[in-house]
Amino acid sequence: MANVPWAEVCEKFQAALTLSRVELQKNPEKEPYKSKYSARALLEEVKALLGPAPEDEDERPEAEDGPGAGDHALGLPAEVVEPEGPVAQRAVRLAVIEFHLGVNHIDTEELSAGEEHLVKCLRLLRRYRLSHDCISLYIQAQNNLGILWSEREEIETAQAYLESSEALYTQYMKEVGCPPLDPTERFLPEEEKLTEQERSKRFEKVYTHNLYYLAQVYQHLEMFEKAAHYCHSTLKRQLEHNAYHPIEWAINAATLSQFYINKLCFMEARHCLSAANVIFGQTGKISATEDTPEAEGEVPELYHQRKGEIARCWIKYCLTLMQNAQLSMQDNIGELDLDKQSELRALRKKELDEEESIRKKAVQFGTGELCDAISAVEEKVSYLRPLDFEEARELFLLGQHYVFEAKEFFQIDGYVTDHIEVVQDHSALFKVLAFFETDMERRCKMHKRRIAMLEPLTVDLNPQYYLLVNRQIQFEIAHAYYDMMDLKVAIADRLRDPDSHIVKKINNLNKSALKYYQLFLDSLRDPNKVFPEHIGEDVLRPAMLAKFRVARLYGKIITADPKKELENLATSLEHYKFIVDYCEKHPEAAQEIEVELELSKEMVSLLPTKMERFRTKMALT
Amino acid sequence: MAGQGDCCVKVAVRIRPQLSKEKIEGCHICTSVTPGEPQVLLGKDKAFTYDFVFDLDTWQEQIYSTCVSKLIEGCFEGYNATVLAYGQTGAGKTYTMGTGFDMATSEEEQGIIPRAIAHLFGGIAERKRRAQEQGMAGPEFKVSAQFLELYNEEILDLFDSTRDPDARHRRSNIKIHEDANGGIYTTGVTSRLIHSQEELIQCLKQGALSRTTASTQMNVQSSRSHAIFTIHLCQMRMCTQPDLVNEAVTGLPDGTPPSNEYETLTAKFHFVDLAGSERLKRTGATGERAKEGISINCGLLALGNVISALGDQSKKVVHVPYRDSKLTRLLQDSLGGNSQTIMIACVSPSDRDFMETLNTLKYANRARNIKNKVVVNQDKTSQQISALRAEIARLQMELMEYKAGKRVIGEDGAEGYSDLFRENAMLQKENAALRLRVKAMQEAIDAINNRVTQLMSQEANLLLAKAGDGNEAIGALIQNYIREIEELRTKLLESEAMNESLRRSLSRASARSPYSLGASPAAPAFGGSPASSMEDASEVIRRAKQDLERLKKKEVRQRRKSPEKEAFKKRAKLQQENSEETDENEAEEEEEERDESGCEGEEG
Repeated sequence: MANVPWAEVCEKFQAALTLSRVELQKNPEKEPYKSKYSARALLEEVKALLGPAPEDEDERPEAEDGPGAGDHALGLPAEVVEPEGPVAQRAVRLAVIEFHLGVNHIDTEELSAGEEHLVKCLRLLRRYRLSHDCISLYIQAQNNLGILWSEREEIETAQAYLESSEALYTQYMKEVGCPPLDPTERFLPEEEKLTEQERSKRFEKVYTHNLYYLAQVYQHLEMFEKAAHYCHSTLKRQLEHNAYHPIEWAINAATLSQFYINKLCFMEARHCLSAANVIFGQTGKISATEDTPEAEGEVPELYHQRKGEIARCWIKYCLTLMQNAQLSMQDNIGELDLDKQSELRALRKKELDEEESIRKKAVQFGTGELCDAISAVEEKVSYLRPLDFEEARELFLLGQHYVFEAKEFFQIDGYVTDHIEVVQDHSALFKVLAFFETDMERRCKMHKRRIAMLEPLTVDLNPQYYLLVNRQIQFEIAHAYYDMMDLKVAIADRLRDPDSHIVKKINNLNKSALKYYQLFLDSLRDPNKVFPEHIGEDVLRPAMLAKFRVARLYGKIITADPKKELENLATSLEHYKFIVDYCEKHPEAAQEIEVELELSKEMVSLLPTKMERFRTKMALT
Repeated sequence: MAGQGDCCVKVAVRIRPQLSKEKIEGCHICTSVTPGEPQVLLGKDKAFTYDFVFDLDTWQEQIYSTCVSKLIEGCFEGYNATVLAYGQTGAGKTYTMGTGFDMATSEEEQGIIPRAIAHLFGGIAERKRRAQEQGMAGPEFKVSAQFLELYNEEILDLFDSTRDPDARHRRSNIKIHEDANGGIYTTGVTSRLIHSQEELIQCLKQGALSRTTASTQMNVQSSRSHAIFTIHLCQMRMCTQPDLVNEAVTGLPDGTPPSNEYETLTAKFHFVDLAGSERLKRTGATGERAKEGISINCGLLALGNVISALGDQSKKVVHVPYRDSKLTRLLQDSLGGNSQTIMIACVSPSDRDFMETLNTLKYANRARNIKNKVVVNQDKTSQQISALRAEIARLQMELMEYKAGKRVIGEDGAEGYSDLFRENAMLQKENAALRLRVKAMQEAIDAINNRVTQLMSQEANLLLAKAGDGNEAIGALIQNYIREIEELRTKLLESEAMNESLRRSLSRASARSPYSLGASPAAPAFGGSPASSMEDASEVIRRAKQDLERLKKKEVRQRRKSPEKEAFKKRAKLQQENSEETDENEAEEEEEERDESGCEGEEG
């Protein structure tokens, strides 16, 4: 050691590091890894200068190569052993070189060689892995092995290494806690050694990456909840260490909320969204201080777009929460079930009691001021299912607020598809609010609002380019008209003597619903305006439903003229027949619309007799 | 033409033949195609199925005619089309697409783009010629092209040669705009008007060259960027075939007279060279290595991707902000709807490229699942279904009633109950009335019998008291009278009971609505029997009177013989009074009957 010029070793090592950091694109086209290979040569030289590995390798209790090593490490009675003395110091230095060689080989797609070096690194450090000198390097080596095994598609092995890293970090922080040395420091002159703060920052970053890799490993293993948890932790750590871009962070948190919404974890979703709002709010302050003239032209655009995206995530939150409440409170015909409602009311107290314990279990973003700011946003929104109109209305209004915010950026001119999605969500908000409304007239008005916002869209859209969007809207409008008609019929039923005015209204709604179902069905026609023999799988159910409803609507037209009524019955029959015939010809369609088919069959058998009677009646008059 | 149902992305996989270099180096072929199936087997156990699979020895022509040819035909009808090429470098992507522009390329080795261009211009010439043959004004065509490159969410215009090199580093001001009427268009992009096949090829070559140089200047590996070559076809033609009129584009109503009416059809054809998965790891950002496409992303920059991917697994009711949004947006109106999209994934057969091939096949498999589905809400149908169920039940009930003949359509057209049903109802009423009468009679009989027994015993006592008196004739006569009196009494009681029941039914009838069916059959029920009983009664009275006369004569004759006659006379008188009372009752009955029939009249 003594005869090795230490300065030379350090110099070579630094050169190797610089070379390995050269951007790959700067290499000549034919030799993409040129800089890596030069770095590797330097590292090999350093390794030679340091001499052979220490003898104490024999002390190893057993061979620990391969994937088992990570697991095994956990089982050892781990105690903190500091690498003291020249032998140990040399071993640690060698380990650093092995680590860099390993990473270098992985970079140049030589996985087996890379694995060998990294395993050697782990072996050299095993005894000292919990020491403040080695912990960081050990974890990094394990993380890289995790990546390596994931590339070989052996995710379980990768998982073992990464979980071992996580456990080591936890243990180290509990038992030692002081910021450990960064591996690169090993070859730095004393005066250039890092500050405690910098050390801590680097070490924490290593751990953040560890969590992030684990998130991906769990995702590959399809353990999505765990993956989400680790994503959540990664975001939290980014916040804690101030290593984030506000817009990017906010959009990530908002996106994560969508995962929680799907899992019906509304408290977590609310937390993510509230944090997204708070962090996003920092953007303005930062860009105000950091004066970047070039970015002025376009940052606002991205800013507004992201703002719109977050608003849309909020809309989904409100909508899903309300829809979820509807699902749990509706009876078998989709109306409010009072028994279920009172059951849930009784449950509410329990939910509130459990709130604290759930909150404790969840990952919470931020501390101090930030935490308060997030809580302030959270307090304004309920995470519990709304149980009555008042509660639903609160959520609806919030959702609507975000609808307006999203529409500010996603305008029809420029963002047609997005704009329409937002409007559809707005319509859906009204629809679910109508469920909570008990007054039928007011419910009717809500559907009317839906139609009022959807109808103008269909007028403007090019039916060729926006075929699918158009179909969806047509279907939705038709349905809204249908709902309105049903409501008006119910209102008329309650009246003593329904006047001609309400009958006319019912018929008009019927006609409008028919019109939009027909438009939808017409969109299925081929360029020669022929209805297809075979309906595509993706539109099969909607098409059949539309046919079914058209049949039903014709049967519901109120008319005093028996001739007209007979005509309507005939048309109704025709549509029912279509469904039955189609399913006979295409048996695969039958399972898509089981219930409707059964009813259609009944109607096909019943309607002709009804019509026969009608005819007899007419013949006599 | 463009099938309505299959708006998903169709995927073709092409396996290139082994290169001689690979053969020399002893590479093995690790792919095999299942004969007759569009299925690739990679290694021993990894099977993938696609829409088309082209094995090692497939000709260029075959690929073009199977996958792309009909897309160009669709363009002439105004449908957008997209061909996406994907695969690692060296997997034959350039060869398949035909963007290599080697001087030596023979015609049969031409790739997709040159063939498509030739097809397009051939189609234009053909359509013009046909119109000329038919003596009509030929259709007008306008072809223009754009060539864009997408790198890191930034759009570069490969046709923009005027841009100074410094500006390349700055963000371009190209914007993607989505319009309700025309779909996606870009602003700030050079669009070249093209007049011939050669010109278009020339443009493509120039753009490809510009792409390489731009990439070098930006220090970008070309494999990290997407290249999008777009041909716009604008067609003005006479509306001779109203069935082909695309109302959407022309805004003309259907069935307009063919003379002098032009329609405009526009279509976009995109050729997209997608950034591949290979060598991505070599383009690391400083500090953190940014490996992508493999199992673990190392750079935290990709955290967003990881989080968005979480949502992919579950139902898609939520909003996941797009990551690769520019490409998606550029192709938005070409994915789904009436447009057709084909993705050609190129792979190498050699075992050396096993991992890359596997990645490509997996990616292509995912692309197959891209599907734009109509999302229709299906809730609340349960309500409609239950309503319809109720309707069906009602109809079935009605049907049964008709089958049983209960309901018919009356002469006036009004639905009502059949005559048979009415008659049945009447008879049933009558039956009930008769039953009632029988019961009343039974009661009367019982009462009479009691009385008879009483009287008999009285008479017997009387006779016994007068014992010895031998007037047998009178005794027998009295006996007869008593019997007759009893009979009349019975009748009287009967009539009273009848009367009572009539009164009841009358009050019931008047309480009901006038056209209630209950009342009418009640009246005829009395028509027959009470009348006959009345006749019976008057007959009895008549006979009684005769007998009385006879008796009076006898009495005159026998007055002097017996003093008992007085008593008898009294009794006979009493009897007469009785019969008169009966008469009165009968009259009352008649009156009520008239009331009943009056009611019936109103109903009729």
